[in-house]
Amino acid sequence: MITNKQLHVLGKFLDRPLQLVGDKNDVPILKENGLNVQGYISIAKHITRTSKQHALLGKTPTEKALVDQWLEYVSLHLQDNSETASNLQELNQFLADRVYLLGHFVSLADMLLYFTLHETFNELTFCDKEKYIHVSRWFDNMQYHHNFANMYKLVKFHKTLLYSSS
Amino acid sequence: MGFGDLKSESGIKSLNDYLAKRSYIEGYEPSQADSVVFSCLSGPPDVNMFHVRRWYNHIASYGAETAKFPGEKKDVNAYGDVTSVPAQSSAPDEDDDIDLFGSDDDEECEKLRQQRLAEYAEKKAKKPALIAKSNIILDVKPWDDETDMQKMEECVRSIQTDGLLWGASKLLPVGYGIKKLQICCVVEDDKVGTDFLEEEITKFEDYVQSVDVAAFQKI
Repeated sequence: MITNKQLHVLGKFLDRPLQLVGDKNDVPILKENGLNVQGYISIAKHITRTSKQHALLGKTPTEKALVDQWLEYVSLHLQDNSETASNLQELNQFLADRVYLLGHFVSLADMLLYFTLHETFNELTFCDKEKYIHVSRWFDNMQYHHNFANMYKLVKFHKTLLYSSS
Repeated sequence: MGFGDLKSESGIKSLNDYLAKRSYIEGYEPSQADSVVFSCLSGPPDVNMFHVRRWYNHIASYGAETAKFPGEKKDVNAYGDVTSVPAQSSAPDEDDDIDLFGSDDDEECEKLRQQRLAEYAEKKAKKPALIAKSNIILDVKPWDDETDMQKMEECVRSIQTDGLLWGASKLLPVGYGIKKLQICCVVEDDKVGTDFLEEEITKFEDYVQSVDVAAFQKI
């Protein structure tokens, strides 16, 4: 689930504090300079676009489209906890030959996916983390590289592979 | 430390294992470590080594920027972790830590063990394989007193299979003018069993009433 907390963390990361209107169960609204932006994804994109790190949204039209696609994926597919296993399986396959979702650079999609998967990964067993080795690698890289550690608890990963790779 | 010879398959393999759970050689962003190891590779790795391949493509995407990565260049053997060292790596261990488990000794032991195993396997291969054979004497009893014993013997001898050799035979009187056929044969234990012989012989039910194993000797 994307939550208000994640938007705040993202705002902090982008060095762009924000005020949200609307309580937990409502769709959040961002009020800024007489502008109303409603909805998680819209707010995330808006604050990224207006920050210094707008490159996170992609530079070329293709990259922008891919970021949008992944944002939609995150908001549509990862809301239901009952499908965690199949989602991880899918992501694992996708990340097998990629370092980031878009291949070679970090995007907003990676950020939001990291936020969304954090809770899931916190509960995964080491065996499962190894099973989804590609997602784990991506996750581990995200949590260290971007210093989310201050805002999110570090998830531990084994340094050596314990279980025979399947 | 080090991955061994990165031009060889075993070196690539150890790099592959190392990169299974890492996106970069060191840390969490591209550094000189990546560009050093990258320059040691002879070209794009094999498709099977998909971890190396992913990393290779990623580093390659930076193009000329690889020279500007942060960090300092070190010798290629300074990268990687201890567990990924292939056996034939001769890279000197620069680790100053006290090694509680004496990995050097372990390595020697391992080498010695491998050598002994190889010697043993060689010895074993040279030794001619012994084929176990047995000499079996069968008593074949005819159906009744009118059975043509010559015909019966022909039938028995017509059974041919790999590892079966028929030997001498003679007719022994049982009583009331009835004779039985005692026939000798040599079989290879792995290929022919007494069950097989009995089954095959009793198939000639017009002639044969029963078959017994009179003697069974290992040769």
